[in-house]
Amino acid sequence: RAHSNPFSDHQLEYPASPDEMDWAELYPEFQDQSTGEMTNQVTIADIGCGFGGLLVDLSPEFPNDLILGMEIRVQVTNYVEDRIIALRNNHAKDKGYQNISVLRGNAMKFLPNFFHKGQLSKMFFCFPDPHFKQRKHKARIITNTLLSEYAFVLKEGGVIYTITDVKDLHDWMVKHLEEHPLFQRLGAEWESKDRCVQIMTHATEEGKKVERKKGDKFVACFERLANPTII
Amino acid sequence: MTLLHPLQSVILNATENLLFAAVKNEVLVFMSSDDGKYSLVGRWVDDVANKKVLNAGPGAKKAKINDGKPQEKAQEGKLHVETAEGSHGVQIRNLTLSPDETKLVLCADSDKSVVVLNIDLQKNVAQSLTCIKRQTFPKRPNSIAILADAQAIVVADKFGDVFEIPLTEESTSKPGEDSQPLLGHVSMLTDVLFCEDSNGRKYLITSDRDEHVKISHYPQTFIVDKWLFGHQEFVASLHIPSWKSSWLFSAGGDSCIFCWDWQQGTKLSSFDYAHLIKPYLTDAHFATARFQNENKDLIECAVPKVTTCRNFPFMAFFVESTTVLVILQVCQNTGNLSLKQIIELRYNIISLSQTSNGFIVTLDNRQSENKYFVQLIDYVKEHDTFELDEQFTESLDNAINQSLTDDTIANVEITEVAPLYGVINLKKHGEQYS
Repeated sequence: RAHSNPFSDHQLEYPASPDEMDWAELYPEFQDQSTGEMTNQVTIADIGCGFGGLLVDLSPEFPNDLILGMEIRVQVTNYVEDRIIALRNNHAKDKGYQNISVLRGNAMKFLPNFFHKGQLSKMFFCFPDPHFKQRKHKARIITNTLLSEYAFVLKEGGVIYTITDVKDLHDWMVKHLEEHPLFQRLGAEWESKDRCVQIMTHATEEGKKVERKKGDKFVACFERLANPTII
Repeated sequence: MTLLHPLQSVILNATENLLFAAVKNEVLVFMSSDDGKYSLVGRWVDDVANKKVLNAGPGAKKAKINDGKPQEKAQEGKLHVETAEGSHGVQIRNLTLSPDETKLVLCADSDKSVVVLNIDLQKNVAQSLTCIKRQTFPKRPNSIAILADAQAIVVADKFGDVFEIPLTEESTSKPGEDSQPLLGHVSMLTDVLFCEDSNGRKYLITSDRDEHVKISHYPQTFIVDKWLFGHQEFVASLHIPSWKSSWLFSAGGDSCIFCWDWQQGTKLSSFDYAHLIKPYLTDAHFATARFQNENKDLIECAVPKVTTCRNFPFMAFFVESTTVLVILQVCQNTGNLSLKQIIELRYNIISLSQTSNGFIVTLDNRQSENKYFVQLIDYVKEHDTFELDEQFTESLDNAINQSLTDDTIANVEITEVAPLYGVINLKKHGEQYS
């Protein structure tokens, strides 16, 4: 199905806290065999990763970062899982694609169950569900209250990437990110030099679909600012 | 004799000579005199609820399920099948006194509003409580907290948003339309607390139906300080004891009560009550047919409320639809919780709140012929036990029976009693049921 209601009680698996998350299951190559500890931790999250195109293209660019796709739709998650397994098998010799993985989850509810404070350096929101109806705007993935939770898991200087082909949603995301005291927009010049912006614009299945239809793509990136002095 | 509606909740003022009670859609104030006799000194009726009842007629409002299509709720003859959204959505809840005790703040389900009443007990019964503010919300307010400076109220709603409104002045903007929430969860909020740490920094603590307890800075509510992880089920109630402001108790759908150091972000202890509550469970605790297992023996329990005694290191809680108040001793060094006493009451407990020397509960006394509305449970130092104050109960029963004979709201048919057991409905059952 194309949509999933982020408010309903899905039969989801999520750790009770970030400490209880078993990352070795998702990234077995990054587990130290002698200690059982993970050598690297997830620093890049693709929220609503869809069919996983972005994960696949980011993988070789950030070999030392663990990249996690989160997707709420079961079948889509299963597809991405199979896709990553196939890639890992095909690149077994050079241990390719060991740094990307996917899990089914509701990021709007349970992101803090997975990540510690300041753990992430990049978060991607690519072609999110536009939820056109006014009444459904709270279901949008970028709201001022959710941004506070994204800011919690993002480190200072970390970046939120957004891209959409829906102008109205783009304006909405920009408005809410600009209003939030912990985010500041990165300029067009920064965007033009950033490798992730290029990948995000061309890699995802949604992005390619828009390209085929010769539609517009709207990009906006925001830096996580330092917390102000607590009053 | 007609049935007088059970009291949904009561609170006492600091000197404990005034008792504020929520009865269906009205608030009553009783004052005790030096000889321990109570008399009615104030009454305020939520007229919006009255109109709603008249307009609705029997069964006019049907419970809604997620997709918005009306659906008749299966009744099964069980009390806790009823929901607050049923045909009785007229309740008053969350009675809260302002720190100076000049205002009473409450939530009215009738129009999803927060109401501020001015208290002037020099006036007569009908005029001593006057509504000075009524703020409606787009989603039902579930919990309120008054800020320390008593200028504003923080309101946590059913849809996951927390709004701030001034306590007395008119709000300049309507919450949810042109004023943004302070913070939010993508889940139903169940409780909110305002607190300060040892450095004088202020925080809001919020709990939700998705096991989360979130601590945000105030007024910089866009900065999340931390989460307290440990609940496996919904969180229904939060409480910070007056004798240890860095600690927090929480409970809900878990079979444990949790004690936290919220400033450090650590869990100090938990207390599993599953075993000790077993003898007091009844048929009401079997899961409803829809969620029942094959053996038909699935039991579902929830704790609607945790609180502490103001002057002594004791905490108390009850399990919904049971007759017992469980009192725990709290070790003030470690936060360790141990059983102090189980108090068995005559009827099921509906609500619980704190007093200086103990606890006060209201009872589902529908079968009592209008007796035993409220029970005061005091710590008696000489005996080192908690004991029922029967004199208080009798005195209050007398006052209630004398003053409510002609009260058309409090006198009800058994079918008109507002839902008294709703917390178990917060339990999640997974998407195959949604």
